[in-house]
Amino acid sequence: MVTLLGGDIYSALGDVNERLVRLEKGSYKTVQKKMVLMGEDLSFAYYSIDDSARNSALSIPLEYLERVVQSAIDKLELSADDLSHCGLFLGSASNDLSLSLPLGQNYDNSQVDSVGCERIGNGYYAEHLSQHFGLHPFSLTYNTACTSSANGVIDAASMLEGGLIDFALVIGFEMFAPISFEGFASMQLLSPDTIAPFDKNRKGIVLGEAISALFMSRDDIYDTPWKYLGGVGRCETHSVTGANPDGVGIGEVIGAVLKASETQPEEIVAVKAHGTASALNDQAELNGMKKVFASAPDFFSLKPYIGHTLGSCGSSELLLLMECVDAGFVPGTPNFKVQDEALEWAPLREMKKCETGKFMLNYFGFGGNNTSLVVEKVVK
Amino acid sequence: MIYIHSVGSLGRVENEALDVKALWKAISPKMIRRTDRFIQLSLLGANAALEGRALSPHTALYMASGQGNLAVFKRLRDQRYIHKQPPKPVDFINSLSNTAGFYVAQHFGITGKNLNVSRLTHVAETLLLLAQNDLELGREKAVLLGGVDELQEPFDFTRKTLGICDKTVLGEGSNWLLLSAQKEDALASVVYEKEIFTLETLANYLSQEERPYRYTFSQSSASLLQETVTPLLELQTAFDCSCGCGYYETAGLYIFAEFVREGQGTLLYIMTEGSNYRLIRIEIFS
Repeated sequence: MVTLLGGDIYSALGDVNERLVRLEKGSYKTVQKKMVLMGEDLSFAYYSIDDSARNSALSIPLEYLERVVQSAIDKLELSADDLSHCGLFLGSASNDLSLSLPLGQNYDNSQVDSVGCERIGNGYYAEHLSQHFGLHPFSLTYNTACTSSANGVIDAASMLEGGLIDFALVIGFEMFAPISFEGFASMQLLSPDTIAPFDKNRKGIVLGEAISALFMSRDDIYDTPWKYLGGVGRCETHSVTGANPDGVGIGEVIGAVLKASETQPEEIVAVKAHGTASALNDQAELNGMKKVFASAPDFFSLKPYIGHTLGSCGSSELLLLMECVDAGFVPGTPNFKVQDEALEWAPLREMKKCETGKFMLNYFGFGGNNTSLVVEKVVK
Repeated sequence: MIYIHSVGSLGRVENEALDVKALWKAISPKMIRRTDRFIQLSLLGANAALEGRALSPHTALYMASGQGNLAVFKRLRDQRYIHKQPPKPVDFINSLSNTAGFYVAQHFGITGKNLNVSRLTHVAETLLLLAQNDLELGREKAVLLGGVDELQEPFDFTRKTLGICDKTVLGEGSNWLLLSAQKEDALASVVYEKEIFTLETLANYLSQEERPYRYTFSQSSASLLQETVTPLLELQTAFDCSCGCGYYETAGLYIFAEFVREGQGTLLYIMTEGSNYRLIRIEIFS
């Protein structure tokens, strides 16, 4: 059986002590980011990794990646031999800066001569990490929008189950990207201030950045109380920008993951919803859940804590869930105040005590990507 | 072991013209408006592999690309930094490279798992290993596996970012294989050998081949392998079709498709990364 070992995460929630306090109390912190769009001065909330030393240099993403992976390795006491059997699955919705920076600088084709002869671009970060940490040669970088690292978890489990690797490192990676920020703004999908998933007055997404490193293995190699029971990805071709609000596509993927994980709906202790607070996504998600669950399960969204971290949310939100349950609770959903009659169901408002059980995690993205996972924490 | 049921390709080398939009418009004029050249290139290659074939709706789509849809990234860059305009929504959406996978899935009516992956080297080959594992485990029944790379100008800039320090001719292509774990109606078998070889264990593997075979090297490791592995293959015949496609990251799938189209024999496709050697074996069914 595939096991989830844990790891580490850099996000707006701070270190593990700070984030557990915030997740238990339902508190968070955002910054305001400004932009000029069509001549109009706009300001939107954003969940930023708190680091005053930050700049936009190419070395910074690699430095963060190395730090978070090293922290996870230290925490789990993995050996060099363990790492040599560890495949890498990196999920991100953004282009790798190693190529996008030269492309940006070469907009007028004047910088051709200044570029060195070195293979760069998407996959550069994964290759760097594989070399730096002496990992197994298998690595892939996923670009399936907001399901990127969640799909990495599914494929990591498959490669572990097939015996091709003994450990897997799943990385979710998303840092502030101006084009993404302005792209969401131009589609009028951003909330100016708060993110309030499933609330009647929800105003949209608040973006955030997160870098997470999650290690996985098999119980014959490295057993833990956390088990991966199954994961399913589907492509819903209703619309390139989102799931069908009637919930058909989401209902299908949720039903499929329950079947794959041999889990009955009533066994699910809580659902980590995708919960972006966009009007149609929340509607589609709950309509999808209603096709599978006879009554509302306990569900919550982690996006009010770290924002919508796009390609990183798969592994980042899985890690946060594991940390919460290990601390004895599942979190509530901050900013939910007013019931939306059209949705009927309401998320957990406050944290709820919880130490074990089966959990569902949902992720949906542009490009018709619907992904759902089921994991379990068993009693030791 | 997994099986290849159909193959399809479309591409060009850098000095040739390829009017992708016109080709796709002739097939599906209604899908022109929101698709760009990268997406249309993806659709055309998949269409070449699947023309007239009915797919199970649960077929998975695994798509590899060295860099994804870079042309749209450049448009977004120009909109932001030169024209001082916000991203056009259609460009912003298409900048997520799995949008191409969405349109391929939509056109062919498949709703299975839909992946878009990249890697510095051997991205399509690595994705083939994942597909093989998923099919052998029964996680997927059929996988439509494609590799798509769109040639970017200026070519000298592209060559450098690909790590090519000479004037190697570049290309672009969209190459697709329909794979399953079922032998019935298959054109060929394909095995990504799970062993990670050293030069010594690779030599041992090759020495145990009893029948003649043809061999080829991945484009990115060809020069290294010419020195180290060619001496082990002196009695065998090379399969060299790479001059027909130019250099691009997913050209390995073009080589596989060409070998299947040729229709006979066994192909050993050899790659190297660092001190490791990997091998993919294709056997055509007569």
